[in-house]
Amino acid sequence: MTDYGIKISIAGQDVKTATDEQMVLTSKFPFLKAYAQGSVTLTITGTGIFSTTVTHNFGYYPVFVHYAVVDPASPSERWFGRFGATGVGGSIGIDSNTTTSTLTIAWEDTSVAPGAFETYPYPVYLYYYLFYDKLA
Amino acid sequence: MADYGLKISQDGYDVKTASDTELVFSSKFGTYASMTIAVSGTANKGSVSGEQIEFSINHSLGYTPFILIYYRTSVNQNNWQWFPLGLESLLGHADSPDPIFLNIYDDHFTLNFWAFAGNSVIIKYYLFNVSV
Repeated sequence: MTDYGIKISIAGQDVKTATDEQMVLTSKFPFLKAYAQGSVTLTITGTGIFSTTVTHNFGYYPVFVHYAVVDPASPSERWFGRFGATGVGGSIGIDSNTTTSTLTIAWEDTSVAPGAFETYPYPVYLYYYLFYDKLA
Repeated sequence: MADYGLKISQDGYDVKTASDTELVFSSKFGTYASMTIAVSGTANKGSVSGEQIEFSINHSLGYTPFILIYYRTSVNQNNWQWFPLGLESLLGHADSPDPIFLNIYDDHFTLNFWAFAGNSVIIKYYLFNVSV
């Protein structure tokens, strides 16, 4: 590290001698920088694949994450990335990707007994975060 | 919190009265406050005969870090996906390598895909200063 920047150590540690693990903040390491957060809703009307697209127009591939909330199956839970349900004679899956201009998130309901997971139609709330940081 | 440290409030909030959720940063939050990227990098592997592709990436953090991984396959070079999503190939690339598992250790991580002959995978990984 060069001899400039900012460092803040945790309480009780001398910032001049503290290790990296004892830092609250050090400009030696970058942050992920959030650009936008938002939500979209998918309405699942039966078995099959449902997808939604968020336009970001970054011109490059940004870092992203997303959470899912299923109502009424788990309205108080936030599913980080994957969502899985078994015991419904099928499975619930999530897939996502980003291009240089869009983020697409897809949801699949393969319940063999349609409606076994949730009565149709059911909403899936997807909360996403897009970061300035580039994947490529 | 002791009466020293650093706080930065969101735009529109007085830093002297802002609540924790109205802050961009506070040294009160401890080492989890910043979620800085300790290590990041890319790696590329191919499958010549149809087999598991395994990445084994060393790091020297000395703890098991929180991690984010994204990947792009030779089947669809215009999309980056978030590991471990993609197993169901819902977005129309059934012949793409499938992510299967990730193991994280205090000195390395391993990441495996099922692949078809000729497939290749590029990954981008971020290891954070927070242990899991």
